[in-house]
Parts: sequence; C-alpha cells; structure tokens
Amino acid sequence: MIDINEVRQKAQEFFLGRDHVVAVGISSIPGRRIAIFLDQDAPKTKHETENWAMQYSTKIDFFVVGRPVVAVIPPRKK
Amino acid sequence: MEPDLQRAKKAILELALGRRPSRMRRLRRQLSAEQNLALTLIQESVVGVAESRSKSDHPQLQIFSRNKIDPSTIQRALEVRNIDGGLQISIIVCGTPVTAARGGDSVGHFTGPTGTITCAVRDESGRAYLLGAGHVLGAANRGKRGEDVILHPGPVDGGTVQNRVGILHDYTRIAFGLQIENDVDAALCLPDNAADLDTGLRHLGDVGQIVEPSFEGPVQKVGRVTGHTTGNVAAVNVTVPLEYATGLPALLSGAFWVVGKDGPFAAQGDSGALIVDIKNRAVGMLVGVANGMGIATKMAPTLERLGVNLM
Repeated sequence: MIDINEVRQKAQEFFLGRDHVVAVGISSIPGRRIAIFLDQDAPKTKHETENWAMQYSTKIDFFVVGRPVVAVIPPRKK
Repeated sequence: MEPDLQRAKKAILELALGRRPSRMRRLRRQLSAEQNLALTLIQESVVGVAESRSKSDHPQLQIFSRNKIDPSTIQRALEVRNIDGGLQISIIVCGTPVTAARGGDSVGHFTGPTGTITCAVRDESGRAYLLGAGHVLGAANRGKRGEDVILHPGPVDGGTVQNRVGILHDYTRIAFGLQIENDVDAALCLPDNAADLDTGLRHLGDVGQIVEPSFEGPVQKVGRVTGHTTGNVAAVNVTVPLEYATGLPALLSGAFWVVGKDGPFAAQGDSGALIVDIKNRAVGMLVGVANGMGIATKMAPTLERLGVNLM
C-alpha cells in the first residue's frame, strides 16, 4: 500500500485542473483520506472519484468551498 | 480654562478612565439606574478628554470616543459630580488608540493593499521586523525593497503617510501561473523605530515555538477583519491555485485549510494573520480564503525563507 502523501500527489495529478476542483490535500477525517475541494457549481456525482480512490485503497472527502482567493483587501479604486 | 470646564474634564477623566474600582463600586451604589448606565457607557467608550473652543468661540469639552456616543450621556455622567448640564460637548469618534504595532493589527503597503500583521520577528543580528503576507506588504511582487512605505493601520483603514511604521525590507517572490509551486508568500517591514513593535498577538499575548499543522485540537487567529476566531485544520499538504488581486492565479502547495468553529474562520483583509494552536504555538500564516475557510502556509518555511525567527 503506497504512502498517503504519494496518493495525495497522484490525486493532485488526476484531479487538479479538472472542472470544479479547486484544491487537493490530505483530509483531517481519520483514515487514509484525500480532501478534494470543489467550487459551488460542482455536480453531485462522485462515481469517477470513487473508482479512482478504490485503486489506492483510500477514500475521498469533498469540501464545497467556492473560489479560493488571497485574503487581502485591494486598494480602493479612485 | 473656565472653572466648570476644568471640573468637567477632571470628572470625566476620573469617571471614565479612573483606576480606583473600589471607590467606583461605592459610588455606583448611590446612583440611579440611568446614571449607572451613563457611567458604563462612558467607561466603555471614552478614551480621552480635552478642553477646546467651539466655532463660535465658546468653551467646550472635547470627548475622544472609541465609538459613537451621545453628548447627553456625558451630561448625565457629569451630573454624578454635580456639574451642571450647560456645557457644550463635542464628541470625536477616534476608534481605539493603537500604539505599538502588534500581530493582528491592520497593516498595508502605501499603494493600498491592506491585511494583518503576522507578528514581530528578528534576524540573526537581532534586528527586529514586522512579518506580513507578501501580497500585502510586498504588493504581490510590485513592491520596491528598501523604498516602499508600510502603513499601520493600512490604507483601507485610514492609514496615511502619518501612520508610516517602516519600509518594505524583503519579500518572497510569487511565481504566478500554474506551473511553479509556491509554498510561502511573506514579506518583512523594517520599522523606523523598533520600539514601535510589540511582540506576540493582540488579545492572545506571547507566541511560543513553531509547530506543524495537525488535526489534533483547535487553532485560532486574530485578523484585521474577523478578529479572534477559532477553527480546526480540515486538510494538510493542500495544493491550491489561489487567485490574486491582479486576477492572476498562483499555485500554492504544502498549505493547510482551516474551517471555522462558530462561523467563518477568516475573510478578505485577514491576510498575514498568524495561526496559533491553543497553546499559542505558531502554526502558519493565513494567506487565502474560500467561503470563510482559511488557507494558510506553514510557519517554519516562511521564517526560514526570510532568514528570521519569532521574537
């Protein structure tokens, strides 16, 4: 069984850049779990991700979070 | 100064800012509910008092207040000291006076980006700096090292050249696009006067050693917008394309995400906020948000890249 960090790397290569996926990491939920962050328009189907997860004996937790942006207040427009 | 004005100023100073709680408790027992309420309001609001003259050249009592307060409240409090209500009173809302710059305070680059001070740090020679987010103090790669002025509070919070705290000393360059991964986004401000810095975090106090983000126990931060919030680490080793104010994305890796415990953990304007665990050990620097969740870089590589340590 490969290390969870390697699974995370494979998840990043597989999922990041696809429609609606905004981030990939290791989930805080106990067990071998990958966190996939989705935008708010993401479809509910998980079929493809479940198939992917099975081959690495892992599970996926989804977080619907919207668009990640830097937490700065930009200058006011004059 | 007019005798009544002098007495009124002394009374407000004593009632609002006095440090004799036992005497105040005795006094409060003798007052009406209305007068007690007036006392409470002025103790929560008044931060200073001065004598001045109105536009029509009448003597007036100038009250500096954290928030909006009605002059009649001041009149009611003065009645406690048997001072007649005929005085002219002018209220200036000035917010909470801030002296030294401290982690959690507003800070910004003079061109406008405003965020939060991470904390005070120092290099090997012992020189002190303010640490902040690179896209705030360093204006996302546009800042000029050794030249650009840093303001405390930041421009969005009313900071002007009179609120200069120092100059931009250094920052980590952000690689924009989605090919190169960034693991930190930080900058240093060299203060004009090291005495203008305060160590630790506002409301939370001193910060201890550095720890890795973990799923055990809550974390907390003090940010310029959302103040003190607590949350839990939802994910670690996260890779995320983060959208910058310019509209360009940059790929952030090795990040951790924090979900708020009783609401949003962070909001825009909190960039730079130091995330600590419940023992006040430094975990990371907040750099991004997504629907109230905080996106943070780890503290150890942030400090290492800039060659500094916590103070």
